[in-house]
Amino acid sequence: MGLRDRTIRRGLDEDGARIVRRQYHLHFPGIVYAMTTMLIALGAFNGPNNLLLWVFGLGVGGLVVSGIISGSSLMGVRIDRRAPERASVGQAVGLRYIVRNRNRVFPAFAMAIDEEERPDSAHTPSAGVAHVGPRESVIASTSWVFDRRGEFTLRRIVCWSTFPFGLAKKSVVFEHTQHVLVRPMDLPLRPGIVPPAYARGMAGASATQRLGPGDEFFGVREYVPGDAPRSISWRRSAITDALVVRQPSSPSPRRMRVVLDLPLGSDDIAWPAWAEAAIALAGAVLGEGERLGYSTALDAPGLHLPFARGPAHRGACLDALARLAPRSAHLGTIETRGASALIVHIGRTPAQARGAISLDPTHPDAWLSSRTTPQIRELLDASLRENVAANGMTARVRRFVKRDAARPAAPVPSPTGGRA
Amino acid sequence: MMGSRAFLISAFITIELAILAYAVAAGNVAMALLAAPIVALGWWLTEGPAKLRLPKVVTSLGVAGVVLWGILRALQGGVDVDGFCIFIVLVQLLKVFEPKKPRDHAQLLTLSAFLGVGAVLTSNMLGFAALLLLLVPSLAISAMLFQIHAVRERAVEGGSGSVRLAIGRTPLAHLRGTVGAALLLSFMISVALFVFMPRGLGTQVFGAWGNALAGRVVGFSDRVELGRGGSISQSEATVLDLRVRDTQGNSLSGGGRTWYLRGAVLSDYDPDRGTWTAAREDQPRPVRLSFSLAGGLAGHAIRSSIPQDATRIVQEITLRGAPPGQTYLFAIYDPAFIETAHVMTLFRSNAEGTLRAETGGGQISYTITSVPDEPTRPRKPSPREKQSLSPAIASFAEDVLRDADLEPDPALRPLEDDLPAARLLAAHLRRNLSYTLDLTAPPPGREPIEWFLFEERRGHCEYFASAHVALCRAVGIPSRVVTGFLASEYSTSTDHYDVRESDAHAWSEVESSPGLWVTLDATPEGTLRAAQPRPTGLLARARQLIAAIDYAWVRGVVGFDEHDRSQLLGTEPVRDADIAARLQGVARRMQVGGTPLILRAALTGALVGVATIGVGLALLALWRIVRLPAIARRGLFAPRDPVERLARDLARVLSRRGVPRTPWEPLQHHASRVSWPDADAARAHARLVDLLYAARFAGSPPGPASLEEARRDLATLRSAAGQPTLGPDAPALVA
Repeated sequence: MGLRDRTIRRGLDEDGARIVRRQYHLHFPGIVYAMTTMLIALGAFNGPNNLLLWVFGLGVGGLVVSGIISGSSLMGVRIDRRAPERASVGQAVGLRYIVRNRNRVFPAFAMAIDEEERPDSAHTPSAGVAHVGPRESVIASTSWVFDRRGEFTLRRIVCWSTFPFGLAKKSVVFEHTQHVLVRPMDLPLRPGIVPPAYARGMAGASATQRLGPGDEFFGVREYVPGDAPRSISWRRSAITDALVVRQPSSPSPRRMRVVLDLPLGSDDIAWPAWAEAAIALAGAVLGEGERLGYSTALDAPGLHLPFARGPAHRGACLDALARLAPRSAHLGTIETRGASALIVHIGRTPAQARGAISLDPTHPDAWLSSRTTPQIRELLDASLRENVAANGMTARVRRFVKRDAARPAAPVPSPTGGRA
Repeated sequence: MMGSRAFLISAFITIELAILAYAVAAGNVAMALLAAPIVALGWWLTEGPAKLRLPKVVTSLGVAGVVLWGILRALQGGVDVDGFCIFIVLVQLLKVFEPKKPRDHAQLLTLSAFLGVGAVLTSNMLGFAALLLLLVPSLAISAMLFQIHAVRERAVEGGSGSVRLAIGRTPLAHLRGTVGAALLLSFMISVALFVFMPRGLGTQVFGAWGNALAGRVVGFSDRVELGRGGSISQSEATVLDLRVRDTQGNSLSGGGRTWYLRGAVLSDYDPDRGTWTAAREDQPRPVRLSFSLAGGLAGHAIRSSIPQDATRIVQEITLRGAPPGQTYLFAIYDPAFIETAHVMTLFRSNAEGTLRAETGGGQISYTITSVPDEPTRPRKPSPREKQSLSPAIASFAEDVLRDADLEPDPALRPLEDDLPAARLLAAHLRRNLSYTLDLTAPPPGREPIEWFLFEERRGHCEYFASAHVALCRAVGIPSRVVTGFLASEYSTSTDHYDVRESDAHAWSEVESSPGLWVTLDATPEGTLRAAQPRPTGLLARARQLIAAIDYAWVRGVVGFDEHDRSQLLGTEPVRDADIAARLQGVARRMQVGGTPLILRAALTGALVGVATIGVGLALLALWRIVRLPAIARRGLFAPRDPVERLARDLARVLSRRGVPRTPWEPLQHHASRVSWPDADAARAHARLVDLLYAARFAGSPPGPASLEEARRDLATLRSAAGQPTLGPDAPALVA
């Protein structure tokens, strides 16, 4: 056993998957094979054709061998899953399965590995193992593309094989619960949708009352050797008759509050389709703001994340957006005091503060970058169309949009949930 | 080589083999020449680098057309195996040109399997069997590789295309082992079923399925037509197998002995047409024995009143491909007793001493016991009257006899001179006329025998036999023409005669005493053999070998019947009547015994089941206890790891050196404790330890060159292991 195998074994021993059940399945090719074999048997007994009898024997032999090999090869197979904790809608995420064959004699061939629970309509291909020898481990991988945000639970791994002849299908189910938090899709925004944090005309707006490496003036102090000659304030030195140097203030990031105005919903009443686009848009705006140097905050129904910066904050925002579920309460009063520069208002209620930008998620052409990949665009369009397809009436959605804009307390139930 | 490419190659070979097997089985040369190349072309176009594929809709339309053709054919002529197989081949030819998903590959492989079954229903010849022996493993390997291919396609389907299957070490070795084990186990199960399954339980209650070898040309005819031109068939196809023995089982074959296998006996000659046919008075009144054997081996006495002390000859005969309907059961002498396991109705002609059987065709095996010296039937002598075709023939025959001082007039000639006279006439023909295979038709209006005797003076066996009978009858000797086979090609390895189509022959029979007919052959033997040359040397040996294999195949597999089965297993032959009686007995006992008996039977069954499971569990436990360390360490099919072998051999050498290693001691530390008689051995030891460490802990397995060097080092250590250490300064390995 090599070093790699030992490492894999350690990993398995720590949190290995538990076998739930083993099962032989009634398999269509197997039924056809059995019926054909019966027919051959009938022909062999019907007339004196020894060769047909031999073929019948081979048929029975194939059936027996198939049962033995498929059963014994899967008998010693153990599978463990390695899944990422986070994923994004529309982006491929890798699932890895550590497949260990504990059998001391029989190798295992042609195993397909599936998850028993799969997201509806998401692209979730199987992992495959061509071969794993006795007392050997291999790693099989596959990539999933989630089409819904939310928390998805991977529970049971189904390993099945029809090896050797495709006659008997045998499966083993392993229990290994893991959670994947699927964040909203990562939408690239048009340049300029979120203005730069230090745009022209905003000079001084970002100064703080602390010393720092910024450009704004904070004060003066006496010159000490080592100070750069450029920092000497000559006028002030002339007045005081002593060399003084300018001290800049610490720069302060501009703040951006992302307000996600969503209609009413509940556990039973889902959000309309555009809400998913709105959530994705909020995530994109937060990401763009982070990139442009903003300190961002997020307000949504039942959700308030204060101003902060950095990847951890952005991750927290995206996680919160991933878990965002329909609520029966509207967003309360929008807090604008901390937002010194900009409020990005996503929804259909008009912006209530100066400098606010309102983005309509139902018109992605207005804010989506042309660099958007076709897959993302397709997913976005699909999520916007979903209610239309489900209800079969485009106009109904339009009416809902208008009605909701005027009277936000009247949501339309949707058969498709906002949860993944 | 375990990926899709391997599967595609394997599937292609399987499809080709299936088509070829059916073409050989059906004797369809056109299919073999056309279909196989078309499949190859289609496969190359669709799966090769060009990837030229017909649109699915085109192939689907084609398949629909083939289905329509199949339906029409079935409506017109019923469902038959040939039509079904041709339908499959046509579908395969279309489907190879379409873009293929795993489902399509599976369909092609399934069709190949069906084609194989169809071919089995069509033929059981050795050549086909050889192809079948290739087709079955090919099908199994393709099916296995297809499973891997399908898993891969399933993983890749709709994905980014970069999905790769996880694959362990030494997959090919494991796959080879699995394929071998699967084939071996399947073969063993099939052999067990083949041997233990009682034969003849079904009596074609569902009609004849397929028609193995039906319609095959036998090369024998029950009608001689002298007026035809053409040529005698020289086909080397085996028609029947013959084994001759006495009643004690002693072989009567070999030693250059030839046997005349009687088929049709032709007594009536039509000089206008030049044809010999069976006697008219016998033909419409065959003795029908209503001999129907409903499954299982059965014997039947054909002739009664045979003296107990009469010499008997047993002839085991296997007709390779009898046509359906009535067929002659060839025998050396007049049959007295017959054994067979086939379903048939026999027709007996007492006057001719021949047997015919009505069967469904195909291969027929039977054993006939004959009594050579016993007259066919006690009856009055045939009339010894002159029956001359022409004055010239009569004069010719009389002259020959007179020259030998034999009386030509039957009224004056003693009966015991008939046979010498007939032999004399036969010898005269052999001496003065020549044999040829070429048939030249006599001029219009000429009587063929006269033309042969006096003008052409050369001809084939039918002319010689006809002329001999004509001459014999001209001098009042009762005689007749017999057609059948001359068995002369003896195989010592299998103790049987291989009788081929070209062995078809005609000769004459002369009644030497009332009811006792003697075989005489007027055909020149030497010139017959010269005209029908047998291969000699290496070719002859090869031919004999093939004939022996063919015979073993026919007797051991194709002709394996209930008689052989019972002999092999040492049991009584099973008859359907026995089975019916047994079932009735069980039912009666159930009725009499009532519920307690049923409960007892159920309990016994349950106990047997529990005992079987218990034995299985005990074996499993034993397996877990013993764990078969050697196999368990490396797996059943995995090749032995060379590094592991090196480590084991090194441990043995060091143990011989007197420094055995404890299991927990590191190799390096153990090596430091060993002292060697010379520096070479110490260096060899150091190199070996380094190699083992690198292989085990650094994950760098040694290459072939390193392994070779390691083996040399090991040899050095082996030679040094028995030598004493020279002193305290002897070199030791420094860790």
